[in-house]
Amino acid sequence: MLRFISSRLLQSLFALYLVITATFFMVRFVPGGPFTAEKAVTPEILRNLEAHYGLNKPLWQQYLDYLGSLCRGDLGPSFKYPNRTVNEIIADKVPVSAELGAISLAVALTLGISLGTLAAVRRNTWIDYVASSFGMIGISIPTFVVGPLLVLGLAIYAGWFNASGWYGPADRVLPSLVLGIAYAAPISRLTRGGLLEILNQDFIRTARAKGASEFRVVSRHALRGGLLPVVSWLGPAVAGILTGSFVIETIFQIPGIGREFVNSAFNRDYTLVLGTVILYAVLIMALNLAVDIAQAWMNPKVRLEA
Amino acid sequence: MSPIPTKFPTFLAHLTAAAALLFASACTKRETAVESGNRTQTLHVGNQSEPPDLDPHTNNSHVVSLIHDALFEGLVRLAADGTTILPGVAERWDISADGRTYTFHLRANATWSNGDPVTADDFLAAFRRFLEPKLGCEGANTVFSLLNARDFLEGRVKDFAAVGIKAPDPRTVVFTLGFRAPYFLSVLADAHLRPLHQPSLDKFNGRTTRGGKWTEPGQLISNGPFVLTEWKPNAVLVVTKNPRYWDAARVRLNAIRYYPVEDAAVEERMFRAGQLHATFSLPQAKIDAYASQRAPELRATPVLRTNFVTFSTQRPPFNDVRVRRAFALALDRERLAATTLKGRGDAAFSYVRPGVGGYSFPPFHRHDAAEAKKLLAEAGFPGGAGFPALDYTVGSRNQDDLLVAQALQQMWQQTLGVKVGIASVEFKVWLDLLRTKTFALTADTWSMGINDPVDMLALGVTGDPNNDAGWSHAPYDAAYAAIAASSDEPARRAAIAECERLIADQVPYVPVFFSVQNHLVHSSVVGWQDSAVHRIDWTAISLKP
Repeated sequence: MLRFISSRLLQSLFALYLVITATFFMVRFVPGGPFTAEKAVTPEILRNLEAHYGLNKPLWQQYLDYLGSLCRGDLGPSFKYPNRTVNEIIADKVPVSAELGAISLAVALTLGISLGTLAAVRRNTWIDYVASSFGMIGISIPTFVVGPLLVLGLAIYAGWFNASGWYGPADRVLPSLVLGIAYAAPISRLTRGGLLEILNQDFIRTARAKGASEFRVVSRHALRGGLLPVVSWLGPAVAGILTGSFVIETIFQIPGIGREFVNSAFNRDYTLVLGTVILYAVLIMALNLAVDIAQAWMNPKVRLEA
Repeated sequence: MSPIPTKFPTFLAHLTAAAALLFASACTKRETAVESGNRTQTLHVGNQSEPPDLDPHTNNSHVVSLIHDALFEGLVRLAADGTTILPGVAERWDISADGRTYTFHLRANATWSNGDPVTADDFLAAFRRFLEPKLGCEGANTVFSLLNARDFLEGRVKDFAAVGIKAPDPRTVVFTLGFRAPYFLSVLADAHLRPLHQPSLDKFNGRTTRGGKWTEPGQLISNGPFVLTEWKPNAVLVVTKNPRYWDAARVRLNAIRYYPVEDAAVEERMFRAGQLHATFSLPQAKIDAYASQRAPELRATPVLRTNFVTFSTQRPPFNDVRVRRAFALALDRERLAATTLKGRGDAAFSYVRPGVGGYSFPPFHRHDAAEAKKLLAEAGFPGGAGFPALDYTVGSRNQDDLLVAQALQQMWQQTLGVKVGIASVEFKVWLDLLRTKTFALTADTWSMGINDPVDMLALGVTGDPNNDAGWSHAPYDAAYAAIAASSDEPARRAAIAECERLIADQVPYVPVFFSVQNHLVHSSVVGWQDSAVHRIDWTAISLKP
């Protein structure tokens, strides 16, 4: 087990290095730079600006400098926001996205797994059709349609919530609901599929024959195996949901990391692009590892050494 | 299949009912932000995007200028109409007969928000910093009229004492200009040219470095009607009334909350939900609805922004002035304004908007299909035959710009018989195309930083960094130089008119429309005045409950 984890960690580190290097050079080769503004400045001013941030050094030198400061945990200054460092921006924005993500994930798992289980257990009844339609609709209708619709109904007409913002507990409701529904839809379909497969297996018949109640059969015996597809899907999905959603954060004016992730690319904020990419990559790698371990625990057939 | 216990659905039903009850009890009859704001004189405004920093010198963002109008006060300030110059920290000033020396007398009771007096030296230090070569301030070209300012910034003059600003005593600031610049007072009212509190700069080594923490709440010492109290990036920036402001009696608002709402549709929904007193902009699709149903809340203001077509004048086919002129005459701007822009812009028949700096311009490039066809035929493309395939490049950030591009494309096709494609590229990619002159013709725009024609006429000067057309025309360069060299107003007026005439004649740029800024202001807001320079006098505003 220890060997498995340490070898996976080493692989991840190498992959991370590749991601950093590729991102560093890709973002530099995109036309336009951090100081390309609508109003061009004189060449002298531009030179001064680039010298201020060390952008006048050769690219390989900048790359080595960046790796050096990265080793000290310093992600560098932001070009777009001069009085903030990338470390500060990430520390400031990640908790917001993580909070939104955690609530949404709770909504998604509760809603998705319940609906998926119901659909599987009552296969081909109206319950199944309703739950499956929810899954289909949830996957097909994007959040930028659901979000404004909910805002229109519950914030503007009913006046229950703010149309956007992130101030009090009530402001968590609409964005978590929209994001939660978006993630609940695939979860419900995966749960239904996984559970149907398990429910047809011999050990379920055995459990029933032993007189276990249907609730116990589903919750204790079937779900553990039936949720395997959900768990493997959750790895990357949790990374995505925790690092924020650009669309949700824009619609609801939420000061999360998702907006920085997208806008930094538009702003050519080189250091912030790298900072958010590193964050995302580390999260994905960590969660994939966690998923592998969880799967082994849930399914004895998966061998860690394999 | 055996029945499943009803536990799941019942549990869900209970949960939903409980949640619904909770919302209903907690959320109905809520007081909106606008209602509570009216009670406490707190203004909630949409301010488009997150301020990159609050350093007045490194600022190149309009939204920051709007915040600076609340935080800092320069020697003079702009009245709500956007043109009248009012006394600020200076209570009066004298201008020499040749228009090249400005002497400002500072008021004795102007203080910083920590109680320190605002002195002439604070202005001197601020100008010194604005022109600091190491800082590379993007807006520094606005003070190039100051004697030796440009040479100091670009390193040709090393001693700041040679630059045309002096502080002979703590309450006098004297400026010497390199040339006559009647717009100099409006430059001083600009958001860049505010004094800075030197001790707090020094605390963070801020005189020669960017991005010091002196702009954070609790650190920022300012001298304007408001002080910074809270700044949550991407959420809200709050300023509150400054009791130490010399004219604090004039200020009626207790606080202003600026929300960086990038999406205009989101902003409009916040306005409808009672979260904002005023929005920054309004989506074009919503203009009609507000005009017919909530007209008093809709504000439409002509602003100093010209939208034009830029030709790459060094490359065929637009190195031929006849082709450029044909493309200009083929445009029916009145039809464009009526059918496509619909309240977002006014047809432009001059390069600089008439009225800028008090100057007016005769209209040119009226729609003339016959002449356009004739010119294109003379250039060797009768009826568009043999015209190379090329793209009209749009560095678009919104759908409205693409609609305008499509309308122009259609006019060129119908009148000239030429097929022009539309290439929509990401904003910074577009800027890169402009700077490297790798485009054929493009949708361009210019917001004037100085309320004077020179600001925009500079775009035609050979080698100017913003001369996107790559145009070089000796008579134009001479006419532009004559503006600065003019010793009196009639000579200046004549030189400006000559520049406009040459642009009409040589067509490096084709003006298409002048922007109109649409936004919403709630009916409880008193004293909100929009102006062409898009700056707000926050001290004139109050809220009626």
